[in-house]
Amino acid sequence: MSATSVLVVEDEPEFLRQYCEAITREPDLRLAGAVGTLAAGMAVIENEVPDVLVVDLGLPDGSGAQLIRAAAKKRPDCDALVVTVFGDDQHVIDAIEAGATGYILKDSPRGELARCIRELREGGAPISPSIARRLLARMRAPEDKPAGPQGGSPLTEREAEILKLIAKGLSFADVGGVLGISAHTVVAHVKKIYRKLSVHSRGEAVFEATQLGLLK
Amino acid sequence: MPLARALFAALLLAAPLPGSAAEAEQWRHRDAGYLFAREALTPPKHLPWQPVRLPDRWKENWPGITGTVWYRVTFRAPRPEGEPWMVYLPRLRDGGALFVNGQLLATVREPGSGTWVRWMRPHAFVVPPGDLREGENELHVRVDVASADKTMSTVWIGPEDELRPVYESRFFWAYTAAQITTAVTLAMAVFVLTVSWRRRMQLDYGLFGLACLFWGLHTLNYVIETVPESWWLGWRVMRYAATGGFAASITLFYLRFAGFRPRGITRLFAAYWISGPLALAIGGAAAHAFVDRYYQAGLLLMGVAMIAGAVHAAWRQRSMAAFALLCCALLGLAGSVHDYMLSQGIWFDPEEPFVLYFAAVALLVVVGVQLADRFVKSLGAVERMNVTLAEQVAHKERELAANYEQLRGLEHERTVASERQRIMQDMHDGLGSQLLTSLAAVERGALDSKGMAQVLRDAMDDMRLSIDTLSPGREGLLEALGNLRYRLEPRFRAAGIDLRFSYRDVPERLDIEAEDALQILRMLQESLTNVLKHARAKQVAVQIALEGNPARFMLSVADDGGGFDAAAPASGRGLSGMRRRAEKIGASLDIASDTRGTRITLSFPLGAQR
Repeated sequence: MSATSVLVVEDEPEFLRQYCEAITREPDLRLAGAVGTLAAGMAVIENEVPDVLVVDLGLPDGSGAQLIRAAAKKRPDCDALVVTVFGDDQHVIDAIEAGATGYILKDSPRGELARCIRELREGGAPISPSIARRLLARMRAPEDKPAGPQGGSPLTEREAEILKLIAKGLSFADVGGVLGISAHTVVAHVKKIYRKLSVHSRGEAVFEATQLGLLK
Repeated sequence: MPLARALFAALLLAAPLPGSAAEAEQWRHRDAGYLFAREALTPPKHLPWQPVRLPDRWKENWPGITGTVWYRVTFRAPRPEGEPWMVYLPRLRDGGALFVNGQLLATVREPGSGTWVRWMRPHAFVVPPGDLREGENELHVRVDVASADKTMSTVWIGPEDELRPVYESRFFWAYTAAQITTAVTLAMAVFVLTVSWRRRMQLDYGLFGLACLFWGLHTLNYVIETVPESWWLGWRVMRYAATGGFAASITLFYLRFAGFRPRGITRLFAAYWISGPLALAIGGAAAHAFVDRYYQAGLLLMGVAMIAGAVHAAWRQRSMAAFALLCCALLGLAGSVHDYMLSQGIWFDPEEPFVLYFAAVALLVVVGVQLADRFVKSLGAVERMNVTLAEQVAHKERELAANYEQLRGLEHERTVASERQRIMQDMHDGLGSQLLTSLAAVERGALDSKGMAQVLRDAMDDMRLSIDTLSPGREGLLEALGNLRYRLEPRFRAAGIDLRFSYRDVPERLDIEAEDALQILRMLQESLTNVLKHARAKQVAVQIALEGNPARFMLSVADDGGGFDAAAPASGRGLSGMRRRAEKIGASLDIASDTRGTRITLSFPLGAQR
């Protein structure tokens, strides 16, 4: 298996350097690029969309979400890892809606970045209880509203169950224990949920745009 | 009310006017012969008939005489093949029998055999052509002069075409109009009395209603012409009570309208009102003539008082209503006097119809319109008052809303201020003091870069914890516990320590204030980072449980590290910080440590009020 290519987009030089080191140190990871602006990131994916994007949302010339969207469009299986200072809900949800499948705290211990990238490539995705609860609320079909283009909740029962348990504070291993599946399967489900939110939110945007007569 | 009045007026106009009688006048016979005779059939011509002038008022011409009287009128007729002829009598008060050339033409019911009769209507009969002869003919009328108080009217004999309109006009004015008056006034009385009683309206309305009622009953007397003999006395009592009641109530109304409201007058009127009917009821038939003459005369005096009130009101108020009332009062009194004199046989042609009920109807119309106007005005006043009231209420509502808005604004400011105060306090106690002590250590040269990183990391952790618990839309302690575990997991993984959380008897939701939750989380974070820093542990177990009654939130952190001397000052600072926090939220903290490991147990009473 060839090395996973990674593009790092981070405007703070200190962190950019740290992430580059963390990637070049790992033999199974290949640094496809390291840039500090949205424009530069866009230029890079113009040529080649890497396997994984490591993106800071707050870039000087725009939001990293734009880059994630553009990359996901060109290459749907591209994984995006968002770097966040506090891991607060709104930023993370925004990133997931844009197409991110994971997020990492800026001050995570060394090695955590590489571990996260590998987990993503293996089909998993991290999620905190707060994010799980938010996702559950977002994707539960509102009963008083006619079904959107997706027709009700896009979540399967199993996925909703997993989100509920995670929201309660259970670890992946515990969730797996409750549902009789492995922790690995749990995070694979989470990743699927992330993808669904991204599609769901795009669908909603299209739906709303159609309603407003912006699209024909 | 005005509608009924208008209908009545229209009916009056539609009826043929009495003036059309002028042309038919030639068929009226004023000269007749009379004869006292008990014969059942027409007495022969040769008997001693005496000439008489019609109308014949018995009381004047035959005082004290009772018995059967025959009247004989001769008239000329054309050849019988022509148009049909008719006999018309404007009044035949006590009934009788009519014969043409000896042939019975008709009988009109007479009093007797248990029935009292008094015909108010005129009578007319078509003569069969075979009964008439060309040239001279004879009409005989037989009447019984039972009460010598009555009158034989003139007799009209002529072509039906010419007499019928005269008859029908008379019939309308003498009879149908009385029927209509009775029906309308009684209906109005029921309406006005009901409304004024139910709505507790002014006495004026009640008096008007009573006047209508009495007038309706009075006029009933003209409508019902035959009454069983045994009812006669009651019938007359009712009639005088109605007449007197009408006079009394309408006069009281006028006096009140003029502004006189002494109770004395009301009592006097009431007393006079019942006196006549009472006298008749006690005295019986013997008292009838007396009551008929003098009680009714007294009622005329009452009418004079009414005029006085009307004049006074018209003088004082000078309003249309007052003048209209005065006119009607004069009309009413004039009508009363006319009818009284007519009934007493004074001055007037006895064939004239009674007129009071037209005057009285005009009076009731004007009074009714006046009261309706007053009623409508008072309704308008009430409506205006309601509008004003509604405006006042709306104004008050706006005031209240403004006050409420102001209060809400104050409340909001207060909430924001206290929240700021809390965050300031939190920064002061947490991050601020942490940075300050670290700064002091750095200046003292007691911190290397590794220690510095640790300090900054702790500060970062503390901030995340604050965000986690204080940011809006969070579900509370359990979610924050999960987030903390989720955040710390990578570090424990990196350090090769197995971090385990377990929950026992914990409900879906825990009602713990955000401030308390933050302190509990800080203690947990402190304990866990202590394990990371110092304990050289392989495993750490966090157990969360609810115990006892009243329930306590139990949190324990147990590691299998080397332990420490709880009394030693080196480890003291972190622990004393934890103790301070526990004390602050009213929780107890138990720390047990030996070489096999450390167990820190926090016990927080739920629902405790600090």
